[in-house]
Amino acid sequence: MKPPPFEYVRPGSLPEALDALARHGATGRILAGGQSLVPMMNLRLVKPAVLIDINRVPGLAEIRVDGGELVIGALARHAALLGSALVRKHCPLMADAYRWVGHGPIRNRGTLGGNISHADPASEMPAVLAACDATIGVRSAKQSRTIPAAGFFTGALATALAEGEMVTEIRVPLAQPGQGAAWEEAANRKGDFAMAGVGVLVTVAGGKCTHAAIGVAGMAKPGTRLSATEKRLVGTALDAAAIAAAARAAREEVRPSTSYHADATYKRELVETLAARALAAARDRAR
Amino acid sequence: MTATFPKHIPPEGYIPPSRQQEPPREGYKYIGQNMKRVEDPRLLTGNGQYVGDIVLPKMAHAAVLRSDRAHARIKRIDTAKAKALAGVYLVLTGAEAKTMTGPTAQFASPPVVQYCLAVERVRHVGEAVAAVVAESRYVAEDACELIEVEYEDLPVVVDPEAAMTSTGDAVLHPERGPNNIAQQRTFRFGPVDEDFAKADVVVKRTLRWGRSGAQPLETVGCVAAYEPGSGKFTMYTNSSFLNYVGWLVGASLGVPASKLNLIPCMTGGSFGSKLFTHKAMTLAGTLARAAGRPVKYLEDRIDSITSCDNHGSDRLYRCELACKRDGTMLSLRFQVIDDYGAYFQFGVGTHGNSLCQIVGPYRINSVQMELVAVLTNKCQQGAYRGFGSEVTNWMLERMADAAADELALDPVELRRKNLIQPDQFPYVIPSGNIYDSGNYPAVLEEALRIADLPQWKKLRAEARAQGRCVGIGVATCQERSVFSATEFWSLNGTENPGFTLTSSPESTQLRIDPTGTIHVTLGSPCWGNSPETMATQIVAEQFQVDPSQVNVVYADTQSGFNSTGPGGSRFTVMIAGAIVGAAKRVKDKLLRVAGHMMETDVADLELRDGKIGVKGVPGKEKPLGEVALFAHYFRLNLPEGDDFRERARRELRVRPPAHDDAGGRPQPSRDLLPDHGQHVPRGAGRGRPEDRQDVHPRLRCGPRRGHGREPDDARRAHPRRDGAGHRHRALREVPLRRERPARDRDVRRLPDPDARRDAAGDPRRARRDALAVHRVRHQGRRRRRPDGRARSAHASGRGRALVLRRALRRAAAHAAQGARARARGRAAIGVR
Ligand SMILES: Cc1cc2nc3c(=O)[nH]c(=O)nc-3n(C[C@H](O)[C@H](O)[C@H](O)COP(=O)(O)OP(=O)(O)OC[C@H]3O[C@@H](n4cnc5c(N)ncnc54)[C@H](O)[C@@H]3O)c2cc1C
Repeated sequence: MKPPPFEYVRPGSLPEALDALARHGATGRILAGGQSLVPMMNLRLVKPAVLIDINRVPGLAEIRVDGGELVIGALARHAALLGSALVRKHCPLMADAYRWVGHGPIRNRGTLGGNISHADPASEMPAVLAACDATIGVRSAKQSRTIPAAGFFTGALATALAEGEMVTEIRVPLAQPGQGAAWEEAANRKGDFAMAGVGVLVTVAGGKCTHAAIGVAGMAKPGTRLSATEKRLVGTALDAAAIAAAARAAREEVRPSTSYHADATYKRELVETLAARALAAARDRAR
Repeated sequence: MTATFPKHIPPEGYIPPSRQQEPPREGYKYIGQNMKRVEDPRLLTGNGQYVGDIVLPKMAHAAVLRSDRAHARIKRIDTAKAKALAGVYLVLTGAEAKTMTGPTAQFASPPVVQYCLAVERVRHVGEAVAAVVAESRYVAEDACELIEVEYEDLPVVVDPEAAMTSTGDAVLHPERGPNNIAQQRTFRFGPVDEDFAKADVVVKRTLRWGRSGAQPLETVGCVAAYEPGSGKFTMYTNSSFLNYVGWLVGASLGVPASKLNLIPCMTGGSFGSKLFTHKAMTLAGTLARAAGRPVKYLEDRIDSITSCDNHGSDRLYRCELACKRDGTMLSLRFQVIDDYGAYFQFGVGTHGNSLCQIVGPYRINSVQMELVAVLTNKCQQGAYRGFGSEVTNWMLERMADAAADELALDPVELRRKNLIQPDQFPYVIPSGNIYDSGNYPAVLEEALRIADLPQWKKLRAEARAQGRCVGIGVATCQERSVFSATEFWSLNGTENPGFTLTSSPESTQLRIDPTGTIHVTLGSPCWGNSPETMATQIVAEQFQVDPSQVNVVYADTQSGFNSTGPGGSRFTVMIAGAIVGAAKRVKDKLLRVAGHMMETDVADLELRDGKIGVKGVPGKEKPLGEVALFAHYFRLNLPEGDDFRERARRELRVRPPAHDDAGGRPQPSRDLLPDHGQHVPRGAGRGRPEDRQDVHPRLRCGPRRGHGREPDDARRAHPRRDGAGHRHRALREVPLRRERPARDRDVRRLPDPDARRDAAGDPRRARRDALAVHRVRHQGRRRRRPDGRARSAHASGRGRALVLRRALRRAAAHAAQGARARARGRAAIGVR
């Protein structure tokens, strides 16, 4: 379980990193926390010729509020985000979901930028960012652009990143009064990738649901929203009947993949159970 | 073929008289006290010295190319590109290795031939196909990728029942015969047919126990060096059995034991996975000799998962339990098909082990077992915790529950009814083993009391009312004490028993150096339990010295005596007696020397606080070091004569029980307790379980292991021809700390079950029934998991019953494993 030979460069600034990325093209890979990349290299599933280590790039790990958005640098570690008061206040869904991500040592190294660039469909954060209508800030040596989270994830382990591009920051709209959030998940072991995970964001005004967002993990595509189910919820009182109906709808709307640990039928069942719980919890928190 | 054995009645005095060296007593200063483990400082500071830490001059590193096919003929191997890679010293294929090294060691008779690298054919995903020696492990793995292998796929056999009828190319070892049955034989103990004729009800069940295995933190490895001048091998190994069967590695390499020295390293986790480790030693030795430089071969996780030697039993049972309507068990009849995988290294040893406690704690009068050992395209079975007997416990408990179901009896009541009663000991079970003593009803009552069953029944009713699946499982398990190899290999062969009675000794060497430090040499490696702490406590107690004055070392095979090593929970039990024996000899001599120095009668001397002093005269004493120094450097001042000559070494053998006068029948082992127990002062080594720092971790481990095997592994172990099995195994979920199933548990040591005294008025046996109660939480292992909603089954009533049954099965598995947490655990209740 040793990786094949590779070259290693360690840029000291963002322009240097982008330069290196431009120079090495498809043969280069960014090394962030290494918690997905290095195991894949050790299993010889990927064989990059050059590793571009961005861990010494200054300013990439910030967590701050900018206007109406929470801004998270690509290199912010899972552990930092899990423990961040800003995240808890402004993006409680992320805080809730992070409790399910990996184990201590993995969270100490793994980064949010690496996590979403890796785009594992079982990963929590793509679903969280999709539900929150986050945007992903992306740069290359030539240009920078912003991609809505929903469009960033194009398939399992596939993103909208073009050759030479990297994620630099993630922007999440700040949580608003009247909003409630909850993440529910089933994994075989604590810290494993989700068999199924459901993230819910609801806004309640005057006893009625005015906005609902549901992101699911563990399905065929990372960062999937359940828009049909969301629509059903708007206008309801989020009472038990509405939640049960929505949970059943969610069960039908998801496009589950069959994984080693859970088949599609089981995942649908999990989604129904988890969605009902997450909706009830989010509703209670919205009050 | 059927062999029938008459029920054996032990002659009077069958159980030999006590060989107890010290009567049990209370008030020990060191034994049984909670002391900090001697082993810990070097482990906690990262200085354990594992195989991976060994570095020899000019040492190279090996990596192995493994098969991605489950069953295929090797048509061609091209190693040219690998050999051409810079930094590569040697590339070896199976065909080449076979010209240098013979088959790997085998305990099956007749054997299934296996080589350290596959020859002509691969039989499971992960089997070693070629090996590379290079300047680093990195380069070695790069070279492995450059080896081209052309395979011709053969039919893959994964289903044990289907394996019984395989023909043609689906036969794994055609040279052994035209099928995949490695061994098939029926054993009958007692009047089975008569007992079945008396039955009111015959309870029938088909039971499946899937494969599982150990996952040691440290994988198996070896650093081997070969000196062409002397023709000698030196190997650093993490084998637990080095002083027992290490010489067999020499046999594979074609050298006598005198040209093979195995040096033990710290062993990082075993539970069977480190017993022998012969494949790594044989391979590393072969490579070192061929490459002309020392070679380190250390399995990585993929090597370990796909080609380990610690897969446990993989059994399909068809059982019939003959009962009276009132629940009395009469006879047990079963067929067991055991899937041994591609090779057969330990033969059917796991069933010999099963047979020595085949009726568990129950009075079942007769037993018939049809054993079918089959070979399939899976990694072979090896040794894994319980070595097959835990499966028998589980089978018995499933059958007990099935009987309770069918007879509409309370499962506890049914068990209570069938327990062997205290006044029935010594009790000979149908397969010939003798249970020497016990008080099972008392254990069960105590377990029930601690578990507070009524409370749990209430909780169960509440939970079920909420639609949650909650079950309560009860298991009463009997776990025999230390083994002798007899019980494993007695079923070998087809005509005659493979072995007659054997001994499996444990040895120690004890000496005092001129500074008064007491050195104890063990024939085992340090495998993670507390052998040093245990030995230190006993020696400190014997000599009344501070534990810091005791030094425990581990013998290599050139200096060590024959020792079996850790396995089957036997080491402490065995070695404690040997240490006491050796200590007594050395102590005697020490007192004689001191008596001479102090011109005092030996009878007036005593050991106290690191000194030898005159009884009743405080201050009249000499430090132990002074006496030792005198004995070493002023020997000429001592009188001539044997009194002052000897060194003490001591080997403790399990004395084979008296010979079976039924004659010629296999000896599925006698209970060995009567012998070993008497060497151990009460509390020696194991101590009071409540006190000991090293007991609770092991207890927690027991149910966790039951938990770990619970996903139906049968589904998962299937290797696929496309190699998918290879990757899938890497996805197997090893339960981690957070998945611990047991929320709380209780261990009790119960009063001595045998109140009889021997001639000297001492208790006959220093042994205890112990029990472990595990409350196993299940859905709770993940607090926020969909409660009670198990896979696809929660909707319907049928589904719920299914889940419940599974829950009970799991609880029994936990309990069966939990009972192993202590060698003498007797009853366990799993509550889920
Ligand atoms: C045992 C284990 C359990 C885990 N459990 C979970 C879990 O439950 N949930 C979960 O979500 N994750 C889990 N993970 C994965 C973990 O979260 C990883 O840290 C994460 O997926 C990748 O982040 P990283 O910073 O380590 O990225 P790396 O491994 O360094 O990189 C991953 C990929 O992203 C690319 N990349 C990295 N940074 C950037 C960037 N800024 N721009 C563009 N591309 C980039 C790399 O080139 C690489 O292709 C687990 C990992 C392990 C080993």
